[in-house]
Amino acid sequence: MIQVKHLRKTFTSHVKEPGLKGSFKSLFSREVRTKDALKSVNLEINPGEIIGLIGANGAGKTTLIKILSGIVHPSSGEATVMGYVPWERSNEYRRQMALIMGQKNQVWWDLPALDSFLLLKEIYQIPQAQYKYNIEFLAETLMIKDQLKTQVRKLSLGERMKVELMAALLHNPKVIFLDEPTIGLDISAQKAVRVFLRQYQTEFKPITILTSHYMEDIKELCPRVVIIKEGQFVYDGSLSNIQSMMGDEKVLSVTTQDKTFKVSIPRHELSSKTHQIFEENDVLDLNIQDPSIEDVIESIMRNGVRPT
Amino acid sequence: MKWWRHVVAMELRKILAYRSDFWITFLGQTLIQLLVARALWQMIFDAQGVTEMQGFTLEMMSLYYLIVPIGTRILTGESVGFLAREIYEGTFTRYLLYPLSVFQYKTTTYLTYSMFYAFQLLIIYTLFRIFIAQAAFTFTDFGNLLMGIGLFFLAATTYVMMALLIEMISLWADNVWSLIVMLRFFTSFFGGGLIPLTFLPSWTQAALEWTPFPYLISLPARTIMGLSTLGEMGKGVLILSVWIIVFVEFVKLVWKRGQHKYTSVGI
Amino acid sequence: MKRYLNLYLHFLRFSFSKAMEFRLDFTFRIVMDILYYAVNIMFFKVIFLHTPLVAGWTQEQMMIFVSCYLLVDAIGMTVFSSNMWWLPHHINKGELDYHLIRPVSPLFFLSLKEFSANSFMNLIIASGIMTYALSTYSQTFSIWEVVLLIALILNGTLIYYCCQMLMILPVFWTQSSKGFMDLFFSMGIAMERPDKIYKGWLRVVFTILLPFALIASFPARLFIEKFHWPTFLHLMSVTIGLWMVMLFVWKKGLRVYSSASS
Repeated sequence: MIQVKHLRKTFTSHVKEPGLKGSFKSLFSREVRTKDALKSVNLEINPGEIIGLIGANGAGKTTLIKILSGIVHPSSGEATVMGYVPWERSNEYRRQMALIMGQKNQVWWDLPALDSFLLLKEIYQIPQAQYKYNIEFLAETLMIKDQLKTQVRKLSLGERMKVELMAALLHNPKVIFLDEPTIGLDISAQKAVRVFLRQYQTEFKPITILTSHYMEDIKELCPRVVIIKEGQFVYDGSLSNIQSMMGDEKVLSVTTQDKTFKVSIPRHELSSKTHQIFEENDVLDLNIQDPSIEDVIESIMRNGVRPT
Repeated sequence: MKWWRHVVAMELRKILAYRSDFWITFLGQTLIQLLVARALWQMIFDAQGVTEMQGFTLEMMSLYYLIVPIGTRILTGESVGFLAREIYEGTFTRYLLYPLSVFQYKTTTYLTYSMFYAFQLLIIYTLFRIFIAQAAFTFTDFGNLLMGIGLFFLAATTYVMMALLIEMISLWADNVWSLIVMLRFFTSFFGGGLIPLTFLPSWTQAALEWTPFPYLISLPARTIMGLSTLGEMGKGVLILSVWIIVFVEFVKLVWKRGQHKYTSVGI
Repeated sequence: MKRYLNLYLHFLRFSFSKAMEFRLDFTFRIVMDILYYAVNIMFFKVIFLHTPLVAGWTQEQMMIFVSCYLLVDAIGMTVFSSNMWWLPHHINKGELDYHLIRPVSPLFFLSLKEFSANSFMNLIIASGIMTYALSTYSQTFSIWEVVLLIALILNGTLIYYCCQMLMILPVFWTQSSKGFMDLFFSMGIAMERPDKIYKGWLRVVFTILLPFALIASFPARLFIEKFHWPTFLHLMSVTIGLWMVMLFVWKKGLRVYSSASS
């Protein structure tokens, strides 16, 4: 159970003018700039639920995840995860939580993965039987059994991600934060990670928050999505509802002599707009579709939610 | 060729980017080294009941330990092990791509730091001279200061060549920073950084005469204090110049082989 | 407690298996350390060419003191140095994240995980120097005095660590700790001189505020001169105070980290 109420986070940063002159100036005084990363967000997630968190770079996804995993203190507001306040960082909470960041490693670079796992076993005090079972289960489902004795730095990117996943899940966390777990992976590795995550979710039913730039990840794993834009939630609901939110619209894909473009048009203006396009352009091909989920999400991220 | 001016400006910008570092290294280090050295020597002078040892009064001793830490920094320039680090991190390849010599580039960055420290020396020297211990300056004037700083730069050039020679070993071995630290210890002790060289037994002083070490720290520092004769300075310049030529030739030779080794392994 | 001991055994195992990889480096380091020890011993030998006593100590007493700070340095090099080297980088680049989410003290983890197996020889050499200094000492002493000396040297290492941490931790606020670290290393010279030379306000600084004189000089003095309760209590209370200050600053720093990281 995750409950978030009026959570806000503001960052301050220093501004330095470029060049030698700026450097001299900053020896004596600096300008401060503030930025709102999260503007009073509310969220509730039920046990066993997996949600997808979508947003552009800098929209506040990672900040939210870092607050909920206890790394970042919010500026104001409340949040509890299974009754714990994350940023108090109690050992009980940390023992039940996992964070996986696609861009940061937690396993030891110079050592074989199994060595890192042994250390994690000690850190999380995983009982021997559970440890053995989990290694077996995870290595099997991730199909990575043979690579566990190789130094991690010698593994491929995809294998490394699998090892990261194993390392994070060894202690059977009840809450999992996945920050772009498929970033930089090739298609087949992405697929393997997705398949694994779904299997893991059905088997252990943790609360999971997943962020990703790849819609495929979201579409396959998350029945519920939250869209975040400039620090605010602009949509929170089921993935299937998203499409019906724009049910009023159609998407026209137009190909002319020299370009291809897409326009979305309210249904009742369809014939007049199509007519206009034919008149203004030398159309080679025209296609009328329902908006895809990607289109809808992109439009929401750009314009916010439009009332239907 | 104006590239070196950009390099200098860039390095200065890096140094200035961290304002607290700027003041801390400048004042803190100088002050602590000076205070500790002075406390030690005061104790020794008092216990002996003398006012002069090996040609140094307590005041001159203070001045010596004021000049020496900053002088050592002029000498050693940028932090140790940069070449080794870049080779390890694999960023070294860019110097094989740049259309300029890695050594000119590195010597320039080195000496930029030296310039910066020379500037610090100037400030500290002035402050000390005006406010604290006029008595130590009986033998010296501004001309001595400039000559001394000039000698420090010649010494720094020698030191850079020695350091580069060692750093190039990292083309073969993984990690050589310990060798560079050794060079520092060695220079510090036999160059007069820890204790004025006149305190060493005379046979040691004689043994060091034709090595570069006495001219790296001791000679420039004594020159600033007005303690070296023109003859000593001339001898120092001559010996350092010969060593620079020797080291440059060595560096070229080792670089040729090392570069071949580096590119043929293809890291 | 036992868990932390187990964790430390893991760290040891890791570092020894890693150290086997860089053998040339290993040799270089040993030579470097021997040179460092030699320079320190020579410094005092040279001074004793010109005076029979330094800060009230004879040459053989001074050698005991020198071996004390060399041993502190060796322990520090082996146990803390790599960690202390990386810590500011981790903080600066925002890499504490994974340490904060684990159910283990991040301070423990970050201070101890990199054991420098490479510097292990230091410990042996430095202990050798101390054994030599003690075995050639002309005064009589009991085994318990040696035990106390060693215990106080370990305590000195703790002070050394705390001082170094206090110089690193500003990185949470300033984004660069190079200045402070350089400062720490140049302050190291204060621990390499007998504390008797510090008088007046300088004594207050080096025995209370930045207690470098307590690292090796107080232990050596308690051994060479008679055991002296006020000195001992001074040493203990400053150690405890320093440790608490360090923890306080660490907590504050983490707080800053977690409100600034993104």
